[in-house]
Amino acid sequence: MDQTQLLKGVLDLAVLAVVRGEDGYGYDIVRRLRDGGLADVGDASVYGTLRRLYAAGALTSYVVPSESGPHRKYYGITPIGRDQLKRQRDDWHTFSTTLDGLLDGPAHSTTSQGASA
Amino acid sequence: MNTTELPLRPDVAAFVARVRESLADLSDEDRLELTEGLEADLTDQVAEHGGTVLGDPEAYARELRSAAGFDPVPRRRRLHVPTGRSLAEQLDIVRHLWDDQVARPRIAPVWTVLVALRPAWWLVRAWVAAVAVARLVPGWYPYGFVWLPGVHQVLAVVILVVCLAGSTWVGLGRLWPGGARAVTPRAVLLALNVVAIVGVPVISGQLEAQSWSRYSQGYNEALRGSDDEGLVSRGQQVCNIAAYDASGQPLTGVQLFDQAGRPLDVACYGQAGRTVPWVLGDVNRWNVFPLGVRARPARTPERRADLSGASFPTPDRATTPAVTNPLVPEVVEPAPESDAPEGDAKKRDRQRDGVRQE
Repeated sequence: MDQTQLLKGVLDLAVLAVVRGEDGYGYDIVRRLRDGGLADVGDASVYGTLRRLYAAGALTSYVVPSESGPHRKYYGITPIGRDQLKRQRDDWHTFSTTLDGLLDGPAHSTTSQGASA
Repeated sequence: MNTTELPLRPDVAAFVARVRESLADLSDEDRLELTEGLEADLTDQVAEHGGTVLGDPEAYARELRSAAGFDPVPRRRRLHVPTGRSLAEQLDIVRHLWDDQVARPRIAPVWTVLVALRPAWWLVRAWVAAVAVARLVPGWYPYGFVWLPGVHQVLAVVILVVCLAGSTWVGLGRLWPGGARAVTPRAVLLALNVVAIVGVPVISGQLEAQSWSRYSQGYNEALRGSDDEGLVSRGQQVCNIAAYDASGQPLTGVQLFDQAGRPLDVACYGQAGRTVPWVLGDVNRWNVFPLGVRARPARTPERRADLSGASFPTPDRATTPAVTNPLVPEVVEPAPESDAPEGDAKKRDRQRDGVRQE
């Protein structure tokens, strides 16, 4: 299944997870996500998500000037962000457990579910 | 890997500029928030993966907007004012749309210049207001319509200064009844500004028409010649006349009258100060020639009484050639009426009926 479609719902969570330990600038965060296994994540999607999380107060940002090159914008997690991370992580675990149960459960259960619906 | 010091590549800069253009409908803050640091991030990516990593800037902008929670494509900003709202809200909406439009990257630099020129606009609308006020002054006439239409200059300056001060105070937001937020004053101010904008070409058109009518009036006056110009020959005022008889002898005390018997007075500028008139009783006669010429101009009656140094002019030539006219029988003695020297022959012919000679 296309990872991009799956990512849409959980990119916030993934981004919060990779900045939890250490602040990072845009492409740094993209790299962390890709190194962590989300190889197809689009950088623009990540930058947009960073902006949205910042606007929601989950992230803080600061600009680090560079002497010769363009300035870097770093993002760090805020207490609000940590709350959101914890809550969404719990949601995700619940959701994924449910989905695992659906996927790994007995075939008749799936059939009866389909029949009753 | 430390990539902080990588210089900005031109292709990255161009790409980011295109992305920013695609975000032009967003507010300055949102656009900055979305693209700040983008150069650095993309420079890193290009350094790692090469220039091909930069794709279509529009598609990139769509992804960026979408992920950030904006509409993926810029919404077309229409200058549409929703109905069913109060006038104040509608004014606010129009103002907001206007601010958005002028904040666009391609318009903003021009708008900045226009904003800097606002005092010039205050001056222009003050002038329009002053003209409008001056027209209400009784006795208005369309002459002198450069600074203000025909009112007394002092009054004109006062009106202009008052209007200018008022316009500037309003422009600075310090003088407007009800404050800048009240609905009616805002609407009135808007309407007055529109009137001023329309008023400039109207007044300017009147100005042009009036300057043309003044020009043609002056032209016509010059063509007619005005009443107090005295005697004119070939477009120039005649200041003195030298008369000769038919045999070419200069004459003194020649009285000239026109076809209706009116004296042919000469009236040059400063005539009384520069020449000595003949006298009939106690009346000065300016139609008797030649007039005596003063050695120096006398501008006061006292100095005019002093005739020292004054004399009759000496002609360039003492005599002119003798002339004949078939109407006048040839006589040995000089003919009394044919006195014209060559140069003034035509004029003398016209005036002959009125010429008498002592």
